[in-house]
Amino acid sequence: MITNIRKLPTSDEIISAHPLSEAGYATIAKDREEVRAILSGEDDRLLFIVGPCSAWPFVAALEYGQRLAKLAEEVKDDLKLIMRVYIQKPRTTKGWTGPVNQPDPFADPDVEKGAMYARSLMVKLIELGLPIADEAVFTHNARGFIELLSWVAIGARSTEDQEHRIFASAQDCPVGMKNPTSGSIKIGVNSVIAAQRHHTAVFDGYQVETSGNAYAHLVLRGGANGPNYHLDDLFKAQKLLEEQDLENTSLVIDASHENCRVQGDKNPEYQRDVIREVMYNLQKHPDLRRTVKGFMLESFLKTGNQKVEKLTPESIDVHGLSITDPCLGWEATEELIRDAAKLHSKR
Amino acid sequence: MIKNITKLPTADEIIAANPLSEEGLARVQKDRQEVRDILDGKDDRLLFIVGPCSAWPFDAAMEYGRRLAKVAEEVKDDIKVIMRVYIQKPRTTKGWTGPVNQPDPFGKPDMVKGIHYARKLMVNLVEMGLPIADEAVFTHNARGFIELITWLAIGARSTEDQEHRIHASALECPVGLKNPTSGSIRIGVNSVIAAQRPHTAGFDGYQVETTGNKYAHLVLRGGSDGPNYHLDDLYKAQEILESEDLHARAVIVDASHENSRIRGSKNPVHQTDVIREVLHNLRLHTDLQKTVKGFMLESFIKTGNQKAEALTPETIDMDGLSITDPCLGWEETEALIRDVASLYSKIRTA
Repeated sequence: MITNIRKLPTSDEIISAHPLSEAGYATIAKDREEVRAILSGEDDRLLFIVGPCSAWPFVAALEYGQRLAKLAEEVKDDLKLIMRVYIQKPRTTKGWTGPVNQPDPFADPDVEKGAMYARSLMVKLIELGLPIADEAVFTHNARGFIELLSWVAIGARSTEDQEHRIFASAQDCPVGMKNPTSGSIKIGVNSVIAAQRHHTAVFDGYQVETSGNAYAHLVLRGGANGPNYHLDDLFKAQKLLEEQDLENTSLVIDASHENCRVQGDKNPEYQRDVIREVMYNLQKHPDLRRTVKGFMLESFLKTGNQKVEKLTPESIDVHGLSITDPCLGWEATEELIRDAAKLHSKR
Repeated sequence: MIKNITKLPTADEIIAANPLSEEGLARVQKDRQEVRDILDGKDDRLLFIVGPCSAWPFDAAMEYGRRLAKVAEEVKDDIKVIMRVYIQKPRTTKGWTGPVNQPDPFGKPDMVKGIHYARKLMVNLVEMGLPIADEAVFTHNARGFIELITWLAIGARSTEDQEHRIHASALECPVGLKNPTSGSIRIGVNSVIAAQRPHTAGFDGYQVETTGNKYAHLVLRGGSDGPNYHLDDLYKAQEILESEDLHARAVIVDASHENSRIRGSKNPVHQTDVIREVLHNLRLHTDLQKTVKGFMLESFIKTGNQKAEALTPETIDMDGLSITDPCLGWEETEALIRDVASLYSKIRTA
């Protein structure tokens, strides 16, 4: 059963409360085109999708965006930076579900406030000149948000789900399909195949045909059996992608999640080692460059994380310390991105 | 991008075209309550969710339903029989996506036709006195169908997905959450936990709270590492379920899918071995009876399957041979259900 039903603002209301400028929309169209060019190999820069695990709190996320926009300009000849602005977190049982549901983690869920929070933050970041990324936890109610994105993820827990695969196949925005939580590269490739193909489906009372998303690609994020960013994983993924009839056979390495687990715990600093190892392999094995097109990194102003359940509005750190997965801090992020740009400039 | 947009009938139009009688609606309520009682242990019968992999063609599915309704009546003291009426099939790349999308596998997708096909078949079967089961491949546009269903599955490919878990948590119908394709029992239990809990979510323009579905339960269907219906798996599932703060802690064993795979291929006849082994274990290990509450079986009129892609409207067998996963044929199904009823009447302890 469902209870406590509250009308939410329509997408038109959400959009008119926080409109994006014409210039902003034009930037998104251009950013998406650049991402497509990188994925297809016409543009030989690397994608770097970086930012906090969840886009909260507002002021710290904006501060992070200001710093990242500056850095993006500095490295733009070698790297295309996209900021993670993740507004929803899937949860097994309990815990904070992200700012769009619960903009105040100490208060009750309030999707109306959360939708306004998320749209406002996204619009401000785009107006700073940053392309942004999000994960599609849900496949409906996307309008007002989806138009703002330059890169969308289908998460590890949804990548096998037909509803999400069909959703991905309908998007104009490049979509990264993660491998499932088991770590299976084969199932991740199946998701890419499904998202690149067209489907007939029901959507909101209509039969529709999706066009297929030619820029759907694989994201390796490790799994229950360990990481999947090592050399033999990359060759395995390349082989599986290239033996399929795909428009696009590229992949992005997620340096976080199960790929940054060391001795049982996620270690945000280890993300640097993941990226450096892969870059080393790209140098040694140039045939991997046609496949590996970039990285994802969980990064915020401060290194680590805090458990919101144990904190109060007084004791919580609101200056850019993650309340979900641990992130790499700003100084280390900046240094890593500069190093990666320099290394990749020798391509 | 989306294109070739066709307006579909509304749920009201779908319902009005093939209405269900008052008695039919009342029977669905009663059947759901019986399933809840079985899951709770108040009713010590076994659930048997049986029927074709996909509910096609119409006449063969109806014929199957007539035969099943008769057996269901015969074994009703020991077994609660529910018929699989699966109208959608998830596909990786290509292939037939089920009668609701493509009621004619040789024609183009036609959902207007498919929706009426599916509603009509479901209504006819419910009026026959059969409770029915389906899988929620999608989480929207459920009205017109969901009210007809006594047991609903969340499939292995969707069981980890938050949208499907929240959908399950909002339903009044008992929902079986499958383990994922990897075979992980732990993740299957996580799905049960998530479905039993309340959630706040955006749904079609509204913020809603789901109440949680107390009768969400686990379905073991095997995985890429092999089957998960053996004694050790059942104890493992029991232990994990009992370590969690849950209402229903029940397991259904899906005898098909990866549990029926022998030497690399799915063998529909092996489903009978799966069920016999589990029953044997329920007899020897009576403490498992509080957990294992039933079975799922893929069964149709004929044993095996045929590949629709390799056939024509002239060569296809329309008399109850599956066009998706291989099924156990009717005679073997009937014999199995009777055997199980007679065996279970002797082994249940309650």
